[in-house]
Amino acid sequence: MKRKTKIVTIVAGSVVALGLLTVTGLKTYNKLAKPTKSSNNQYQVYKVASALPLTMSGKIVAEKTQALNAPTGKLQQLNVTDGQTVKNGDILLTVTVTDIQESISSQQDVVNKANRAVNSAAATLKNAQQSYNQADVDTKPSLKDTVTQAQQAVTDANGDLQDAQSKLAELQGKLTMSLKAPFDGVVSVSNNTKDGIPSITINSSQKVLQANVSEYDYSKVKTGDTVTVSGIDGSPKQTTKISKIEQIPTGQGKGTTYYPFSANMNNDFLYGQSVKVKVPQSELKIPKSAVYKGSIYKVIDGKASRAQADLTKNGDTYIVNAGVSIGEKLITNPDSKLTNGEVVND
Amino acid sequence: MTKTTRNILTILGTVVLMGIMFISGLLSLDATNDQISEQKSIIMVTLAVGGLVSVIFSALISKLFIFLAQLGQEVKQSVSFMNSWYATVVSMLPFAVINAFLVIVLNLYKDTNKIASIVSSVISTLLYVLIVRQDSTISKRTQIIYIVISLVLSIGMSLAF
Repeated sequence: MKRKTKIVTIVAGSVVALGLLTVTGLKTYNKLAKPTKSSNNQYQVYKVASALPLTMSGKIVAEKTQALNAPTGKLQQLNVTDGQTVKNGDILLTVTVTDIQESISSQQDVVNKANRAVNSAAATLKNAQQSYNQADVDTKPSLKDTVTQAQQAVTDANGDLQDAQSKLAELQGKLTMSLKAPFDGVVSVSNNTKDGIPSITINSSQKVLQANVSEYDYSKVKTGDTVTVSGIDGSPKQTTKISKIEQIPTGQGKGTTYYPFSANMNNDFLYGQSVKVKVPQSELKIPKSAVYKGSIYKVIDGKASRAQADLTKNGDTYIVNAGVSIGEKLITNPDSKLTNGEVVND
Repeated sequence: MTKTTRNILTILGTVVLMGIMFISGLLSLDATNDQISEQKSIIMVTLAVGGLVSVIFSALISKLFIFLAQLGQEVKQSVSFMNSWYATVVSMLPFAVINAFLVIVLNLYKDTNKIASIVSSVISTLLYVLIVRQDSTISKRTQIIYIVISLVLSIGMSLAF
């Protein structure tokens, strides 16, 4: 390189460097000396996150609870104790029906009477037959009718006895009545009753969550949605699915309306246990202010980047249908001064 | 170029580099922050000293790499500290000036941009070698080894942090 070219290059380079440094220095001075003005142009950056899960409280209850009606009578045997687990069809108690017992006594009398009638008819027949056998040839025809009548009387008496005995057997079958468990569950037995027969209530083994969702959150909960249920102290914990959401609210009182929903639970939970319920929300929401003239501004590598997204307005927020994903950064206060590609402090 | 001119250029270049690092440091720390404003003087001194130390440290590291690169060769080669300092300052200065302009004035990218720091490393390494080889004290093999060591280390650090 010639000396002259070298000098020209060095001088030109120095001038350019000096110019760049001067401009840089001035810009820095402006930034540091006029902080209030520059701070007005600060854009706020929001990291898109999934909506917080809906949280509510609930109770664990038996899927079915039934107070069992015991037959009236005298308690013969109680087969269960309070809190015992029973299976469908298990005999819980047996009762002797007092009205039937009286009928059996009177029917027994009828049977005895019929027995005596049979014996008497049999004796009459025997006498008639002896008389017939000892009678002359002339008197035999007349005695034959007597024997036939005696035989008929014996047959009738036997028929009456059989009827009476079958009725007695039928009554004896009704003497003892039992109460059976209509489904699998746990029984609660109360002896504090007037008639002396314990009252039995059965709670089904299948437990369900019972919780309420407010009218504001009703649309966020659907049948089949996953819910996380945990005890107040965090355990036990179970993830299950909502089995049913009622359309009729719990009460018609003043204030917020609540709608009950339920979900099947396992046996880790206790009957009546208070639980925390979390319903994760999958939908993404972005603040209304992040949308400027139908566009959003993402921050990519520290620069603003205008983008389009499929959004649905929902009050003060927009629900994202497409175009924005979790973890992306958005400018929450874009304005007319914001340009595509502008460096943004995130 | 006389030794005196070279020393003057080295000191001037160091001052300019310190200034650029100082400005970048102040802007990245956001000097308008109230908590930082209270300790402004301490931060300014720290930035200035930090800039000077980083330039001298870079010169020493480059000297060390040259020493490592020439190991195993028959002819012993070395670069004096002043020469390494001069080469470091002159090699770093062009990209530092342009980088400061692009970041602060044009807002093209952020101060922490990895691509910019990799480009800076490549340019300064090549310029350093170009300056040092003028004295004809280091062999071609040393130059290549130095470039490889320097680039691998600087690119690795840029990507890591």
